[in-house]
Amino acid sequence: MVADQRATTGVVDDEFWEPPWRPVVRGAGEILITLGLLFCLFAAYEFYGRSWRIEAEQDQVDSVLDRQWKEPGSAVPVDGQPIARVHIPKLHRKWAVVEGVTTGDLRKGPGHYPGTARPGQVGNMAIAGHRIPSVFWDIDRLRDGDAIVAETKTGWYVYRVVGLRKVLPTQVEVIAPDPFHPGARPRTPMLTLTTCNPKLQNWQRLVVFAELDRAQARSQGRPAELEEAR
Amino acid sequence: MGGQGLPGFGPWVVYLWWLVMNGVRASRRRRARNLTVLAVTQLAFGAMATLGAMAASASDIPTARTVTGGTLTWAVSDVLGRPGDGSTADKAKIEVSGGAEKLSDGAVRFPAKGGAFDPATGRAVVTYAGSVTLTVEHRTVSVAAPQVLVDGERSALRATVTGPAQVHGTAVAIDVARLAATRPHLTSGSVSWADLAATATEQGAASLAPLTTSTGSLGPVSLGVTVGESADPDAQRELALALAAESPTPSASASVSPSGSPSASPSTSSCPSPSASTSGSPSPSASASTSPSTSPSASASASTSPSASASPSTSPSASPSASPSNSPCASPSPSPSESPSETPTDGGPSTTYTTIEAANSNTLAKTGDGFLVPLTMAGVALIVGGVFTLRIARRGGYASDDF
Repeated sequence: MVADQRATTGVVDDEFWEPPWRPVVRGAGEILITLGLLFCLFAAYEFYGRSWRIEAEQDQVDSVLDRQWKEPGSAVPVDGQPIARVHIPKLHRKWAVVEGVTTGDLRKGPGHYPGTARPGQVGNMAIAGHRIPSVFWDIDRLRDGDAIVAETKTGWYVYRVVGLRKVLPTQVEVIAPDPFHPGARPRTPMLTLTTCNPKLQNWQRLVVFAELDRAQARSQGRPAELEEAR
Repeated sequence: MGGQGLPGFGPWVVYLWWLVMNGVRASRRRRARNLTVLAVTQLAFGAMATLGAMAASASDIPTARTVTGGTLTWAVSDVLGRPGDGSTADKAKIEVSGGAEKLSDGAVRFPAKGGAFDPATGRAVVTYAGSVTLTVEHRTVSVAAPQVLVDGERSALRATVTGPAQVHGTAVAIDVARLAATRPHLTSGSVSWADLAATATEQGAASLAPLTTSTGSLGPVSLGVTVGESADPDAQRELALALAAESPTPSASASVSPSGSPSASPSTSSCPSPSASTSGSPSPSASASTSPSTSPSASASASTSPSASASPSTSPSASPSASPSNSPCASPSPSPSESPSETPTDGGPSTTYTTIEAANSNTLAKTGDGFLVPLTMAGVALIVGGVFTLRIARRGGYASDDF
């Protein structure tokens, strides 16, 4: 706009005289705004786009899991392949959990720490998930007694939350077989969710501990906890 | 986090400065210079914010914790031989001072003075107070201010040893013995290493030579420390310094004799195999499937496999694999100890014992990015800065009225 003025006036006259530095400043301002917009758009994409991508991946992983469960025999966990489904009725969420916690695995949804217990086993089934809206965004809302249900080919395992903790990323004892007594022999089946904390940061981990409350066979239908949430 | 305030604030400081400058009627040339400076500063701050964001996503958090207490138990009299076997032990006199105390079995216990333990790496350095003086007839050797360094194969017991064999005029701390670092035993807030086999270094053997003719294995060393609640940068620094300090002479006799170790663990190397998962070898798991399952609770029908209870054939000193101190032996996972036998045929969910492997992860999975917030802040700051700059550019044209 201002450039047009100068173009039309052509010769410098007193009314519309433009200092020579003005185009420079204007250019700088425009560059700043463009960069700022780019930054913001990229941040938004990283946040919402990743969330959306994981949801898309989850659809796919979920169908793989259903197919696996139809086949006879029990599958040995393969990295990146789904092993179970986890429901959190309070948050109205469910995910297909894949084996492994590498960046690639977590791109598909929550990941099961390799070598930790599987659903229902004595020990600690540890699961990591991104702190983004489609995964573990609001697991800080869980309170003691809330149900977390693990679903496998053969049965349902209803865990109850027994505590939340904020730890440093190096405190791997929270995924020990007995997270409350690291080094001790586990006695109860536990389930542990880990995610980044605080939201949009990663210098801490939020950990949710849950203990097995009961288990029921698939033939007995869906557990009541899931129906209540509907 | 601390750095984010600067890029966010920076442009505003610059604008304030510019407005003050503008209040004084500056010449065009001056104003042009100011604006150029402004634009450049704005860009610089944007770049700083970006760099800050990158740095924030890869920030290094101190993981080491300060040692707040604990003891070192060293059966130092073992260097004298066993009492009653005609060795020097019968004639020896052991005196302690400076807070050390003598235990009934001839071992000496030193109180911890300070140190650091890093749960992320399993490395530790602990300094102790007190000294012990061994006297055999007229020959005296005193061992003071021991320090234990736990760092895989470099684990060592250092102390200031003074005696007849002392070559230097002033006593300096030497590496008395190499330690066979086993996996520590972790409980909440405390770490302990039990019965570490100690092998005298050349220097250590020379220092103790006046007392004994036997070299090699010294008395086993046990230590336990309590550590602070949270990570401490000072502890991190202390640990880094201790680890960086090269031991005087890494002697050739640094190999560890398994026979000297009272802990019958297979872990004389610095990388002990995880005890719980090694016991999950094929044979016990095979027995688990054939064994009668005890199902105490009707609701969960938990059939606890006996292999779990039959497995503790490992040494008591080696703690199960849950310890976070597995990075010095970050070997690829030796054996998937998990029994993939999820076989409740009639739908009765089974419960089997499983452990996590050691050396599997040093940190919990990274499940978020730290750069989003700084990036957004930088973006907003750039936009606001750009808008202001554009406004200034528009205003400048009407300054001609003044002339």
